[in-house]
Amino acid sequence: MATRANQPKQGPSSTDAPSSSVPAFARGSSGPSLGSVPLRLRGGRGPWTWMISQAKLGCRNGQIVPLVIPAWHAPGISGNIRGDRGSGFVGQLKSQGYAEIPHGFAADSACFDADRTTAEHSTYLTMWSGIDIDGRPATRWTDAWERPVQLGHIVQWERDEVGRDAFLVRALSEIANGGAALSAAQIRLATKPLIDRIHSEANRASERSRLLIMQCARHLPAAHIPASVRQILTRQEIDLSTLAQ
Amino acid sequence: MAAGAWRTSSGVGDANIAVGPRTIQAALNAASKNNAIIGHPVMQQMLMMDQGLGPMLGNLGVSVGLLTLGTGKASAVAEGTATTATNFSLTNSTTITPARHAFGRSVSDFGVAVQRGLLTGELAPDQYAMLINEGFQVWVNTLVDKVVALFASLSNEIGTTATDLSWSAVNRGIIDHKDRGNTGAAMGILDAVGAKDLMDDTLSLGGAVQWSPQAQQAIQDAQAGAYLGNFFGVDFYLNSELDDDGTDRFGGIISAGCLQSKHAIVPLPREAVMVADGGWYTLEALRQGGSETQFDLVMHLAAQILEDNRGSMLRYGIS
Repeated sequence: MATRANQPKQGPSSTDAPSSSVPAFARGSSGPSLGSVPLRLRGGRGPWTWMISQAKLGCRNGQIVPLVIPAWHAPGISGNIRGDRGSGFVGQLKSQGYAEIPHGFAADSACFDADRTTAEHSTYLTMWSGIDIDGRPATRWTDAWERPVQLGHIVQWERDEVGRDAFLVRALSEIANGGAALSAAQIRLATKPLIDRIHSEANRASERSRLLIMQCARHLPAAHIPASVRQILTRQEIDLSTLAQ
Repeated sequence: MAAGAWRTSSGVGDANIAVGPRTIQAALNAASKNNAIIGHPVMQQMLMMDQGLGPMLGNLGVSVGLLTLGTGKASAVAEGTATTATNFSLTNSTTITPARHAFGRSVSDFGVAVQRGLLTGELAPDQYAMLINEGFQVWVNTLVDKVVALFASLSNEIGTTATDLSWSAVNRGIIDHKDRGNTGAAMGILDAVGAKDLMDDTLSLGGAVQWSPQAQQAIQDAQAGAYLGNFFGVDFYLNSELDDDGTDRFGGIISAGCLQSKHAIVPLPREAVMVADGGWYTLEALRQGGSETQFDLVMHLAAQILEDNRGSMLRYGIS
């Protein structure tokens, strides 16, 4: 089980021996030390299985990625029954053309500068333990490319978006597409929503719409930006090469 | 001796508590926003249909079929030509399987004795009323959690991955929603990120739109309750239960008939010490010994997408 102890240290460890050269009052109280403060978590719904489809695609940072659906394992959702680990929900999505990403898929994928070969539950899920707002034990499942960092009384979540998208692109290629390259129809499905949004936002002239156009354009793969979008970018004086991808 | 969750962390059995509370009032919590959406006509219709499906009897689940009706067109045929008839077909069938859900509280006799008279009217005048009140809140939270869990699997999407939501995107999505045949009341649910995206957009709108009653009302009522306003005929609510996939948040716009819940009504047996039977849930007192009572709140429910085309996912970046 992954816990806060797995994270890079944010400050001095609680196990640091107090130095006798430090005045007694400066050594702090005998109460719980920083390292033993439990992670404050908002309890979640539990684990899930990621489902992908050849036809549910989007563009992020210049590449085409599958837009995943979490098939929750919790009973009482979409045909799940207790103990079936989400097979009701998974089966329902499979009947609609989705494929599941197996929990042992691509263990060698990069994740926060490591891989997932020693993952306990799943190559793409991690379970965190801590306490909730009432002080009760709480567990929260996240995907593997998220991790909590407790800063004083708050918890921030770090994300390895590059690692996650690389995993998802691989899943799209190997599972949904069976190793085949993206078809023209898939490229159209992935890019059309962004292209339509750029056309729509271009109807009004404001700094806000310009920002939205920039936001959308940076996600489109350079090879699939149509002339109409390039004209809008030129008119808005947005230099494609300056949009970080 | 446990004091009950609302007392002190040191327990009221400790006579050396430095300062005991003079009154106990409800703490602010983000889940209170769930109450706002449970009363919306779309949710009410779902719950009425829930009861309309009848008792579970011996079944673990109930199934709902969707009949394709009134989509055909007549063909021109010569006199004396027989028609080629086909049967009605069920295009979709959904099974909903309620599962047992429970929530517990432990309360000591001493805790009850001390707390009697300290509870404010906002909570409830006594501990039993408070537990029944909390039971309703927990049921609402559980049901809303089931409902929002389904948003990520709605096929129709509004917005794009890793980008802000905008009124332009919402407007286009609502036209698509209408184009699929949806009419009548619809409910939209956003979290604070999505709501801020749209308010940023509202404040930058120019021309006649910025002076529309809806835009003015959204600005005027920004702080009031969980209701954000009615835009394009959809009632939008702020909510904190929405899921994300690490990149995008999954909100939703749903019309009546999009989602379906099913509760199994499970009455308590005669030997149980029943505190309340709320219909959707029961509250039972279990005497544990040691002058302590455990209150078990139990409900059996499930939710499922009934008709995908009656809903749309609102997808937007979480940062």
